Amino acid sequence: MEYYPLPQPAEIPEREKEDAMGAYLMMFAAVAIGLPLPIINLIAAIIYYYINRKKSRFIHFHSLQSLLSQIPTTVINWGLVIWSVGILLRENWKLTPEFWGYAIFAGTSTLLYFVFSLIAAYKARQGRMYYFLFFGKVAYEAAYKMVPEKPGESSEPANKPPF
Amino acid sequence: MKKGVLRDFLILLGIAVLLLLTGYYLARKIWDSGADLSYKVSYEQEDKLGEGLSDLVLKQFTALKNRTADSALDQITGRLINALDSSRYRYQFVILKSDQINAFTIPGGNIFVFSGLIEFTESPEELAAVLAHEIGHAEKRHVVSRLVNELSIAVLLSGLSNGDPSLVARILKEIIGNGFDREQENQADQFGLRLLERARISPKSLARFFERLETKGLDYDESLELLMNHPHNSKRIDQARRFKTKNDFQPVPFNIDWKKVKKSIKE
Amino acid sequence: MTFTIKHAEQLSRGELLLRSFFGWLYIFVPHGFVLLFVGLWGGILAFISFWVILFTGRYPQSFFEYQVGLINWEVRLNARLYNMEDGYPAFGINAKDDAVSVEIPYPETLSRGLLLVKLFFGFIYVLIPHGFVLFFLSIAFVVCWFIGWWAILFTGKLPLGFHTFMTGYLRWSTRVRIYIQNMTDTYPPFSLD
Repeated sequence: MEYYPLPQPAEIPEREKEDAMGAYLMMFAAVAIGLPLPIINLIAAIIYYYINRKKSRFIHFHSLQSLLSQIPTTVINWGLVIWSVGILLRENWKLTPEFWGYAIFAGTSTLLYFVFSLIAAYKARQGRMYYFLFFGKVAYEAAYKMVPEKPGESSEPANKPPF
Repeated sequence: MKKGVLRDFLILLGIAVLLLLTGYYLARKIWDSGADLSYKVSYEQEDKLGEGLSDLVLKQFTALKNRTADSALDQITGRLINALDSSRYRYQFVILKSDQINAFTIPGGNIFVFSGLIEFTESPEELAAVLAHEIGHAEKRHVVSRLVNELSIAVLLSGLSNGDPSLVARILKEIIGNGFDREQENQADQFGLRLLERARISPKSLARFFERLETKGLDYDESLELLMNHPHNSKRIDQARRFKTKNDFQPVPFNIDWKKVKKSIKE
Repeated sequence: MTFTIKHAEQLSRGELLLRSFFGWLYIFVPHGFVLLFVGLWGGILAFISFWVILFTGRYPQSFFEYQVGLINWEVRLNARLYNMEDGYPAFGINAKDDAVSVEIPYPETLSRGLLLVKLFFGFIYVLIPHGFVLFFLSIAFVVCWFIGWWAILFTGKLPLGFHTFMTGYLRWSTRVRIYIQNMTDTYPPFSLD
């Protein structure tokens, strides 16, 4: 079979469910520290992923999904930050409708990310799989795909005596 | 690529693009509500409006007419009008008796200058600069746009015809108060500077006029406040000063005895 | 919560001097630097845990264990700083130490009401009373630390009375800390034991 079997909610220990939920809460890291920089959330998500992915496939899936969806959100928000700073630094600063349009876009994206993350956190806590558009499939592939053992690894010993 | 991943990605991308466009559309709508609405007013309506407003102004203030001042004004405005590529408007310039250091535009190409402003200027070039700026407002139909923003044209026209005093007072205050926004002032400045250059008048006179106005403003009375509605902040002075004329620009000074003109106005 | 720092029978004078003059370099700066980041992560987890408790009434177990590890690390380091133990303090959130051990039982449920009370009134009914007392105790603590240094230099051990008091002080302040950090619902007793 190509993929490891999915555990059902009853099979997943309480602890795992909690850890899976925790992944989606990393988006509050920036608030926790007190610096509203978009990159902090991403770093927290990355750290969380690396710490927790080995614990179980279920946790791996949710951590990865959270991390992957955090990436475009961070990029979009960074775009806004850079554009804003650019406007402030320029001599004849003008807030164009293009800027506001992008700001609305960034705000809405962040809000969507926020809402879906909270839903996913809740689902993860219940031991459910919850698939984001696109990111869900990618995360599932990474967490549950069976990687076949590389052939020939255990046949020939690498080290041999000199004589 | 597993099935559906590409499809998902494209859907996600599509949603993002949709959001971006929606955001821009919304922003534009909100933006435009404060921007150029002059397209809502036809030129005929504008002319009629201008006539009515002119009458109003002349009821409120006295026009100043003397040979010296008029001839000087004609020389200045003549050069400016000639330098205009082409204009829908037939400009009329009137000097009003008042201490106010101010000038204002009325729809339809009527530009009024207070005698106080002429007394404040030190050269005909400075007056030309102010008038060029006002022509800028007229050509860009800023007054029309602002009035449409505040009131609908129908209300305006009816107000003018039945002379409702509070409406009239409001309209006058709007016009003389010169409450243009930053974008409009920028446009009028740029237009004015280019017009001055084409009319072979040194654009530096605009900056000079602003500068003197600013330093005087610190210990002046409220007659200056009206003109201060024009935000003459240092950025505008900077931009006026930095305006670069073409390499072969040669200003042609006016041949006007300005002292005589100012003296004639005082009487 | 059990808070144990074993009273050392013998303390090395050599290590004392080494630690006093160079300790900042080879112990406290490295540990301090790493603890900065580990502590930051702990702060993030604590913040998130607040909300999880608010919504679910439970402190996420992994997060809890992280905080316990962090506290152990800090006490481990402090034991050397205050000359209560010898030996190089171990790095790591899960490291074990022979002499120092802080065990905090995992609370299955935490009261959400109390959580909010702590948030809004914690300063008044926890920090002020305990802070007041601990302030005076800290003066005594510093005195013990100072005299202790000389005692170790001349006698090779920290007097039991001093050790017990200093351990008690650290125990007390840790209890206040875990109460405020929502790791327990038990109000910290006014006691060194």
